[in-house]
Amino acid sequence: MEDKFKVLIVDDNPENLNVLYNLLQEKYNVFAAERSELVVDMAVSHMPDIIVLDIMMPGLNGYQVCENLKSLETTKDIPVIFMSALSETIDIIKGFEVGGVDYITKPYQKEVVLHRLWTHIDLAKSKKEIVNFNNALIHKVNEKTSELEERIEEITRMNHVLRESEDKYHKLFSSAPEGILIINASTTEVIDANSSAVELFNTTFDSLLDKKQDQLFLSQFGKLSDIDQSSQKVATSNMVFRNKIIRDDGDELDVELTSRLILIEGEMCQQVTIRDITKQTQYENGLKEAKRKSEELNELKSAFLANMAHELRTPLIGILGYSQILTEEIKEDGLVEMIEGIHNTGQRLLNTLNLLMDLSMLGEKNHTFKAVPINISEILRDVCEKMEPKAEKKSLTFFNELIKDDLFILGDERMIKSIFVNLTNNAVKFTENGSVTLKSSIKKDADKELIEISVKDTGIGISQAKIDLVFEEFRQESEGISRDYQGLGLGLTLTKKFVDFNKGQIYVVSKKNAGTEFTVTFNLINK
Amino acid sequence: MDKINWNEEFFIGHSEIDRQHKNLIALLNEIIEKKQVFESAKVVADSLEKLMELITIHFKTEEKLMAELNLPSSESHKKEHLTFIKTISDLSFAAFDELITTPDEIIKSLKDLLEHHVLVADADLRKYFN
Repeated sequence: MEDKFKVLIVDDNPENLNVLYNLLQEKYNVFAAERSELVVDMAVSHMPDIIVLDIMMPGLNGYQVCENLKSLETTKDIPVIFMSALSETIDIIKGFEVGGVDYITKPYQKEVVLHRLWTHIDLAKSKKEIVNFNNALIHKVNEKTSELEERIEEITRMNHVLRESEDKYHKLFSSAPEGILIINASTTEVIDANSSAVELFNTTFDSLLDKKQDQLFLSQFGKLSDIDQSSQKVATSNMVFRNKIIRDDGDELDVELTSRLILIEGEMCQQVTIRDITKQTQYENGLKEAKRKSEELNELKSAFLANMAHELRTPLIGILGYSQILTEEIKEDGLVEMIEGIHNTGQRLLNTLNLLMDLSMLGEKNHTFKAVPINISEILRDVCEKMEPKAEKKSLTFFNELIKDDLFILGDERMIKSIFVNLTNNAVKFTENGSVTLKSSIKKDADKELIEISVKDTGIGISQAKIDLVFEEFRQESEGISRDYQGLGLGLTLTKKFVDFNKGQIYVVSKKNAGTEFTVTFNLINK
Repeated sequence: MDKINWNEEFFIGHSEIDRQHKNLIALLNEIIEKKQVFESAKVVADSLEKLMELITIHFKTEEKLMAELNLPSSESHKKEHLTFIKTISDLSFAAFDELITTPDEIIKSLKDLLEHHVLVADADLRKYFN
């Protein structure tokens, strides 16, 4: 029963209703209404597929019922077939005007009714299907439309973001403090430039665009073909190099270029960043010049020292010669001491000048000397013999803590002796009370043996601030009281150089007013 | 300038004295050889200083020997030594005062001085040992 179509039949005449019911009930699920007032309610509750409606009825007539049905959303699509004894054209037309789909006049033929009924049900069914299909279509279209709208919205949003970022990058490009050129790598023509680049070239944007790479830079830095031949790495990584740019007014400007290859709209391009390094170059050149000058001055100083020393040495030889003659000739008391004084002082002066010459000689680049096996123990004994009287003269205690065995090192005898004479001399010179100690010991270092010689005093010491400077030329720590300790300040410089030349090491430990200890080490050899 | 070639005339006959004379001549020859590469001031100072060193030792040796041999000429010979030293001293002052300006002048004087010493001043020793 459920599968059958539903038909609502309306007639105030029970007999007519009955006949119709019987006619239809076999094929349809039939609902019948005798009173026209019930029709709308029944239509709403049963939702028939079609309604067969009598016109002339007490109360509401069929036209009115039809109009009511058509005015309701739920029932307006239910097809209504009028069935009436009224057969005037005007009645029939009215039936259609109020929304009927057909008009059957009574008396009727059963088959006609069945056919027409079926036709309209079928029509309504089709119509419903079409409507449903249409609705589904509309629904789909709406769905797609809203999907599209979302896409459009997203694209718009992306466009906006893109434009913002493009804007940002354009600002970065155009307002960068470095000049930036975009050069087509195959034609070498400039295709874009920022305002800093325009300024650097002292030109206009338009005239910059006309130029080729070789019109802008003093030395060329590779066309695409050059870069292709080199490795991929070169092509993708930044190349930084110095160059000069040629400005519009013909001036040249020192610049640092950073070049890298980038793809712009399928074209291989060079992005060249230009940094003005005129100031930096000037500064560097100034530094180089200053360095050259100071080296020149240093050489001049060495040459001057050497010449001075030679110059002063010459008459000293005569003074020493004369004093030697006078020592022989004059035997008078008082005068002998004076002549000896002249001779000894002259000799010391000569030694100092020889030291000065050694210093300038060591400054010469191509100086060489021969290292031979020498007995360092013997040298140290000589130093002790020579220095002990000097210490005693100043009432200082002189401690000799040297190893008695003969020990050998490779070196230059005169230099080695000079090292310890200098250090001991300084110790005596800068100590007013206490002692001077000369000590040697053997140290094992890895597979070799070292001799460690220390010269220790209880003198004025060296302040921490100046301890690193003591080996520099012409420095003497006690500047404030230097009159008490006259000397050229050459001793330690030479000592250090002599130690270096003989492949030794020298250290100093000192504390202001608490004494100084110099330690020198040399590699021992077997002899 | 020619070097001094050792010849029979220089021979004294005392091994230590002859050895020292040979060293002195060798020193002078060395100076002559090196003068091309040295600056004048350096040649002057070096030559005079080294010669003075060697000659002082040499004179001490000769004077000690003469005292041992009790040679009558020893006093006048000693005077010759002092004259030698004075001459070197005077050369050094002359060089300093730029009265002598080339190494050649110095070397020439030293050469004469040395030849005089070996040939003339030491004649008494030569006579004694031959």
